[in-house]
Amino acid sequence: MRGRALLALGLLAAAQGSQRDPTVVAPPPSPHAAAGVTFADVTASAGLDSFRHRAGSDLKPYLPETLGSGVALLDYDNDGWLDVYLVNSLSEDARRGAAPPNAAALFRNSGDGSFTDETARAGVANHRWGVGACAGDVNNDGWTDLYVTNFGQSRLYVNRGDGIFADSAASAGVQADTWATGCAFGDYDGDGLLDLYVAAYVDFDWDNPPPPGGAAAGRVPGRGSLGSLEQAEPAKGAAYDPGLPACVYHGIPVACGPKGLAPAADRLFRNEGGGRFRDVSRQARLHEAEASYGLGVAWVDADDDGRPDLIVANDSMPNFLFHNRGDGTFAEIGVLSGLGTNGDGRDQAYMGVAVGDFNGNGRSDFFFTTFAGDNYTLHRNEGGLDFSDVTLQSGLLAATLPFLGWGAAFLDYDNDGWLDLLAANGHIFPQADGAAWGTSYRQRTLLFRNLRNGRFADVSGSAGAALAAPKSSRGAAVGDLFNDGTPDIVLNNLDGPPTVLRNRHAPDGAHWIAARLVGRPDRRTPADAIGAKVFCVADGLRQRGEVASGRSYLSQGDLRVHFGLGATELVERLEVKWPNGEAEWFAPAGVDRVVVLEQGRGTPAP
Amino acid sequence: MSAALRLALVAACAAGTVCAQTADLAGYADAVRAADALLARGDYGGVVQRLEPWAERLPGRPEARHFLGLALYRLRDFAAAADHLSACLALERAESAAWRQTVEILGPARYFAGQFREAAPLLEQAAAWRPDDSDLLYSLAMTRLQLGQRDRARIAFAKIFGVDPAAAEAFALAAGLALRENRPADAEALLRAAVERRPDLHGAAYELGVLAFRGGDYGRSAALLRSELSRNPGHALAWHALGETLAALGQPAAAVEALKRAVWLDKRLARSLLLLAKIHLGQGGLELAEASVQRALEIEPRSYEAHFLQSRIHYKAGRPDRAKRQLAIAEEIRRAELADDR
Repeated sequence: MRGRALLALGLLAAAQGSQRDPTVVAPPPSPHAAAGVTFADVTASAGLDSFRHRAGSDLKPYLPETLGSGVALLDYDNDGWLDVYLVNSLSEDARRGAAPPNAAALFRNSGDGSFTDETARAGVANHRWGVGACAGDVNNDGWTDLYVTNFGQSRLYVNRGDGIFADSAASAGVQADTWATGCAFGDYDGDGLLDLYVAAYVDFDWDNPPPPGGAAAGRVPGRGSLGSLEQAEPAKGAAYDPGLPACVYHGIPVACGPKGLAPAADRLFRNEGGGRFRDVSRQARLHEAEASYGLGVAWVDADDDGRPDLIVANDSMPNFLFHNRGDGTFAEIGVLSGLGTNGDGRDQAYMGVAVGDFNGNGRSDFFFTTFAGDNYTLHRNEGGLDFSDVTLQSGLLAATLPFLGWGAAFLDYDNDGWLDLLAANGHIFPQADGAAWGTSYRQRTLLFRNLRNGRFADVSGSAGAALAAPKSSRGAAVGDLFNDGTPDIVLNNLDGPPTVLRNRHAPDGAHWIAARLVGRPDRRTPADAIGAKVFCVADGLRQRGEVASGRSYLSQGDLRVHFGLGATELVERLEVKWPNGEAEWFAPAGVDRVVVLEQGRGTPAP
Repeated sequence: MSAALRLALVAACAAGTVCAQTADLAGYADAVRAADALLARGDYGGVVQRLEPWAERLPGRPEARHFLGLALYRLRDFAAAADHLSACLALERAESAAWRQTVEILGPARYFAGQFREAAPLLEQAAAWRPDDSDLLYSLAMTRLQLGQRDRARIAFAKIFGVDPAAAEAFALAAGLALRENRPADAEALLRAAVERRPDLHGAAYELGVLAFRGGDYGRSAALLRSELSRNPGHALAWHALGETLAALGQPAAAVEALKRAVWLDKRLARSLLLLAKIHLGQGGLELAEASVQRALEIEPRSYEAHFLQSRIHYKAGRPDRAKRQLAIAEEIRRAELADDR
């Protein structure tokens, strides 16, 4: 009863908003912003505003209601245009069976700026408590398949090639049956078949959920006593103080967790071929890592030894870096390598993970979004599985402090050849608006421009009102939806319509090139070439890109690899390192186009 | 609650003047008496077990609520304590001794529960009755601060520390506490007011510089810190803050120079040594980094961060086994820290 009363107060406060918070008010236009590049909200004109995400109730008394869902960009019909899949959860009534289940949505790109809802025909409504999505061609038939993580049994939607998907999770053995979150396909054993990693969050019991405020609401363990106030402090909210019950935040009862709740185990499924996967989590020695609250997932060859390693963004615990030993097993070296924590050795509440070579040295760097009151973290790859926290010197520390981040991506939004940064944001507690926490429930999206010297500038106030509008965003995916050579953004917003942010580039904008890779399964490369690295050599720069599944937060971006070229109209070559180790060079005929790079059709690299 | 008041309540029940109307009330009197004994023995859980059923059965009786509030307060379940004490307050006769004592306990209970808006009038009332009770005054001042009432907080803090509330020092004092409570906007406003009153106020530019750093305005931060250091070159923490700011500005060499000065001025400043180590580490200066960490470990042998950094140095130097061993030490320290926190 007490908890209900306080939550009601919180809701009342939420309606009032907090219009002065830095998470709401966009910064003034930045002198560092790219001229003539803005993002326009085309959600309605594209036809995606018919989708409404829904997760539980507005009060968000329980943790599953706060995490939101992901978004996947995939070309499911192979027409050369990216389609959009938006994951949905369930309303409170639907979860209880008192209302029809909410549906995910698959929007087919018509190629003219509009999309049509093909969910029913494609058979991908899910109708379960959906969480995340990732894409990959699991059977190497040339059609992109879709894995959807759920609270409960997840789905493997195998693309039949006729616009219809079939859920094969049960027969494939990848239902997981847990609170699955992030996922990603990657060929860790080099057999040319995409394997699947599924992160899991909390062992949560909907029949006996921990109440907001928890049993320990208002307690300040180990401090204070009547008559001796000198050491006592008021309740601060122990959320994210490791080991303390996380049901109170700044004195306000909130959804419990994840601390204090049992973590759920992540799974690695090996693709055995023939439509079957096998859970190899133990054989791969993943279980030797401490059980964690896993969210964002990325396969990436962190040490460029030719084998994909695995990064897992863990909430309230150190990130995992599972180094692929090449013998079917992994060694967890997150903290040791410097990637697991911030530079002080302190873990953060990691949510999403972005991968990209921001400093142009040919190595993949990492960016993690975190909880409010803590900065997002940029790790520079020093080579040799050694990572340095360069957040402070990159200019990202103070600018990200009040935000609670989810989706994250490196993108070259201005096509200048340097990777910029995107972070989708929103607080998990609706009470944030009524409290003086210096933050807000809905938060604006952050865009940082790469200044080419290791530093980033916050240009969120210079890229259009649509980008700066506060939203309760979770999943975020980047891809060229309109095939105009600029990266667009799709946000899956909690309890609302999505946001499609179209990149409006000035007509005299910079040049670009994008590559769609086609691998040879007969040479032990997945057909969609997931895991391939592409280097674009032009105008003295050697940019790195990767064909990647998953990443960001519960989401999937464009499988094509995009490079901005600035004023350059000549690409010397595109170097491809295929997952099977082969290296080829391609000489594209021109710029401002999508090129198809087929394995075996290039020149063997010297 | 005073022993005298407790005894009065028990005596009232026992004498039948308050609650000996029925057998139920007799049982209630027994329970209250037993709870009093349990409270005196420090068996707070026992008090709760004994009286919670009675509080439900006889919601119109204040005594059980009062004892429950006391016991839950002792158990540091301040929100629940506040609930019972609040119910008790409504049942007591206004201005009675029991009512006043309930106010005196309910105020701190609300404060510790983070219910600042409700705590403020209670603490104000209690502080008026007991103007020399520094605990009450501190709770009141902190409550005002948490409510964003920085001027009322300043006046309360000034009273505790014996400072003229209108003096620059009072503004600076309140600013320091606002900073500690992570209220940078209040801290900055108070500091600016302090500097208006005394432009040469010791440490004010330093504090403003630290605030500018926290706000990401590194250029302004550096200027303020240099201003402080021009007046007070022996301010070790200002040199440290300047080092941190210069590191954020991407000036590692200048940052190292500032941090060296911080350490020369205060050889116990382990955090400056650790920041030096991190900067050296970022520059590839492993030997310099290691030397700094070793000095930090001499000062703080149980520093998690120092052991973590030493592990990173070993790792970067190609000594993975030593890195793992060092990391294990760091983890052991952190586990101990967490256990202490609990």
